[in-house]
Amino acid sequence: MSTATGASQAAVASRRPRFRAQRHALLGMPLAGLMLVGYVLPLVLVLGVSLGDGTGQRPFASGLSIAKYVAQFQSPYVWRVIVFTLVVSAAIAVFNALLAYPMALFLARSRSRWRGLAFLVSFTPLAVGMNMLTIGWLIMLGKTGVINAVLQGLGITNEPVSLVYGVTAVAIGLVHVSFTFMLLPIESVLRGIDPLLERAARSLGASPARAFATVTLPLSLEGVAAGMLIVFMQSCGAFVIPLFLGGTGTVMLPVAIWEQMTVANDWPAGAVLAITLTALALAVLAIQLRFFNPLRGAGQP
Amino acid sequence: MSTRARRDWGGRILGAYALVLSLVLIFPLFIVLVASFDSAEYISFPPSGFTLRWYSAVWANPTFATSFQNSLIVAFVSTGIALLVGVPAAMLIVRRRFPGRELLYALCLSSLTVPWIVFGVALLLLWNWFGLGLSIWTLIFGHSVIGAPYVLRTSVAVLAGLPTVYEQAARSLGASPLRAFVTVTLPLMAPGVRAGAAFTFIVSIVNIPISLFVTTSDNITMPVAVFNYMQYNFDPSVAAFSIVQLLVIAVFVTFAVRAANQGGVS
Amino acid sequence: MKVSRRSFMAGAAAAGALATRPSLVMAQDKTLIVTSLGGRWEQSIRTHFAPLFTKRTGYEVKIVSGGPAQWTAQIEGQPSNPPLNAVDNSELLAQSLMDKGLVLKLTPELVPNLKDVPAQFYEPWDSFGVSYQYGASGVFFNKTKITQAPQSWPEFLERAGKGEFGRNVTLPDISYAWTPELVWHLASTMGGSLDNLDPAFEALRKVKPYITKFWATAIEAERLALSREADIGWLWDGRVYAMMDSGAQFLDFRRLKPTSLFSLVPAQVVKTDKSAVAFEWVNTLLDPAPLLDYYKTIQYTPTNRKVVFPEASAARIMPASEGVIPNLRGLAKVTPSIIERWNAEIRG
Repeated sequence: MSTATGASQAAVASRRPRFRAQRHALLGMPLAGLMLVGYVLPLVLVLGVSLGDGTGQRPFASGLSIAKYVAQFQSPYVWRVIVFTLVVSAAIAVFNALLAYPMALFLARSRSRWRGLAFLVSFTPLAVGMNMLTIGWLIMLGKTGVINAVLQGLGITNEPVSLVYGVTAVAIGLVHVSFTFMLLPIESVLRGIDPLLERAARSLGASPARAFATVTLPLSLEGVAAGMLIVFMQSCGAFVIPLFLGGTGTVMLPVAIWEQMTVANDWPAGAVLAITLTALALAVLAIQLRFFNPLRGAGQP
Repeated sequence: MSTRARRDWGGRILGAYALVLSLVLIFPLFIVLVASFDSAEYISFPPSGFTLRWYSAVWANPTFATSFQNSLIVAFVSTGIALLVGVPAAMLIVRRRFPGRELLYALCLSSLTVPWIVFGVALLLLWNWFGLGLSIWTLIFGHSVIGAPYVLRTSVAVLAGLPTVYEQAARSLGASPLRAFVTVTLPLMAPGVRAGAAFTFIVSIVNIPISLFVTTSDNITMPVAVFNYMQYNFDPSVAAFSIVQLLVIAVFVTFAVRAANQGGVS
Repeated sequence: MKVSRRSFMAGAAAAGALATRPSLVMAQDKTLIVTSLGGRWEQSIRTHFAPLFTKRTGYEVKIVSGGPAQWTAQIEGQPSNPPLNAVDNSELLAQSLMDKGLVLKLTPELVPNLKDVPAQFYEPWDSFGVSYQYGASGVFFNKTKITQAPQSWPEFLERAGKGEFGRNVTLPDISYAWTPELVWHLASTMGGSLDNLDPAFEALRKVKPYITKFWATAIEAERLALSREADIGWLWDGRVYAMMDSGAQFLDFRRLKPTSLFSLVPAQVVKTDKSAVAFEWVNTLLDPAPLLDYYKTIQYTPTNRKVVFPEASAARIMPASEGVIPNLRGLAKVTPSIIERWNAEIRG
């Protein structure tokens, strides 16, 4: 239906005087220009570096070669890193959705005077930055850390348990740092759902749980999906958390890029991985725009 | 009556859940606060004594003042730029129909997805290619590219739900397009704009990876200063620095979060 | 491409006239831009070296904190207008800058203190860099748990590989800049060479099950030691001594036989219009007086022979003759294959 109205809109627009259409186009120019120079061009340069045949960082400096792509994608290690990055990020997206949904429901529905404070708290992961989160979890999870002190204090364990520098610590850190990005889309969709719908279901005899499950939950899934995509992308691109909280077995793509560029000093190899990661991210954006685009079916005059 | 009671019961469970989760979210941060007063040479738990010397160490560090100032300049200016380019683009994309509209929208959102570490490297390549020296302006440029899509997306979300009848009414009463926009549309879309600005500001002021490769002595920001320190030191001044950073930006962030709350970010 | 670049430049120059103006002004005033690792290194550079340098030259010092990778990338990226005047580089990246002709040769005329520094600290870079300090590799250990610490590298690896220390051993990961050198060094103490790294990888594969964590940054190694997460592990002398002096009485350090790997930080003068002043900066880095203060803070050994060490710590210092570094050109060549093998055999 949106396509039909869109088409008629386009027809209306095309009947307007030409100079006006051009003048309006000026509105989009600054942002489009910023993106072309600040996003597209830099990535083209990264692509140029990835096609280099030496180890330098000058894009298009030598003949173009796909040798580095072949080398990287023939390495089982690179594949393991890619798969690990995808699997962990997907798991974090799912887990984070389960964690954030009830909180979002609280923020969207509650009239409690604590709601404002809870909203502020749910922003802390984003606002305090990676450094502080990392330090906090290092102190929490270390062998002489808070959790081990509690476990030993309660007599649950005698020896300190190793919690940090592994996939658990990385997952905890990533769930925490991306929590805000999961919460907000869900909360925003939930807030937009008319409570009358659920009340109508209740008046027809549905239990509160059933009313929620058949009315509110399906309507809110759009927000959940949007949040999961953002969190998935964020986790795929995470750098500081896996670097500080992870270990040998938890290398994710951004860390691998960093290693190629700094330890190996092999810029083309790092650029190959960077292009791979960017391609993954763009695929996620395409999915997002395909299924959750506010331009479709909305904004009709 | 009984349904009301049950309803409250559900609400209470939700409230309790929100309370517990909030505590889990802020507890690690509270631990950092505790660690920042630790008198030991290395961060450990439980702390071995109380001291304020790590705070005076932060205060005495000249990088702190520079990075503090830079972070605020970069965050404010890049948010301003993001607003100036993002809001008009949202107007165009929502209000006009033209070929390539969705492509333009995708292009303008694309930097939202770029892995920051890749973008940091890419920006270094860009400035090298232009032969431009690294400065606070190059950093502001990078943060604007990352921030503008937030403004665009939240503005589009709000604008898409706004009927155009108000604008048309204003126009029919003789207002110019600009006047109609400033007096009618902009106030109506303000929540979305505020939310986008809030995001841009926060993302800029805490960002590390974008700035890592393009840091000089003049344009270093607070989080990068802490990151550089953390790579080679783990004394409590790292914690103290983080706490100070948080206090410094808390005022702005609280304001920004309130804006985001009113805006209903999506 | 040239054309598009030029037209881009014209636009950028116009738009960025305001933006670049301040940096042009900066270039003319009396500041020298140098580098340092963050934290206590930066503090030492700032408080021990910078004041002396300013007194001698009238130039202020601006310090860029970060790491060699970022600095080298910035210099190589803008060869015509490098953002740094002098750089404290890593051993391999120093060679990269030298090969690209971006740094200048140091001579005793330009850097008088060079004559008091043994040749082994500038010869690896053909005098295009000089290390003003060195760290020596060894093992730290928790002396309450390990009473019989190993004496040699082969012994350490063998005992660790048999599980004698339990799962409490720590070594650097490949993401640490010195690990390729470490692999070479371990191989060389067991009959290997740059062409034959098998002995090292064989031993490391056996040790792998007993590793609590392969660390990525040296500060992680310190945390592992202090939190007793690791009882024994590879580390530089200065870092362990600094921990011991700040109250970690359960820790001890031992350099193992037959040799120790050097950790060197070649200071280089970048080709800029301020090179003449930058030479004086490197000379200041080699000056005995600030170097002694630096040593007291960081515990890495100054290379200047004229530095007189406090008696209490003299026993800790490794004679420069006992340290080794690999042939850097050869190492650079095999580093990609070391990383590949590490990823496949140690991380796999």
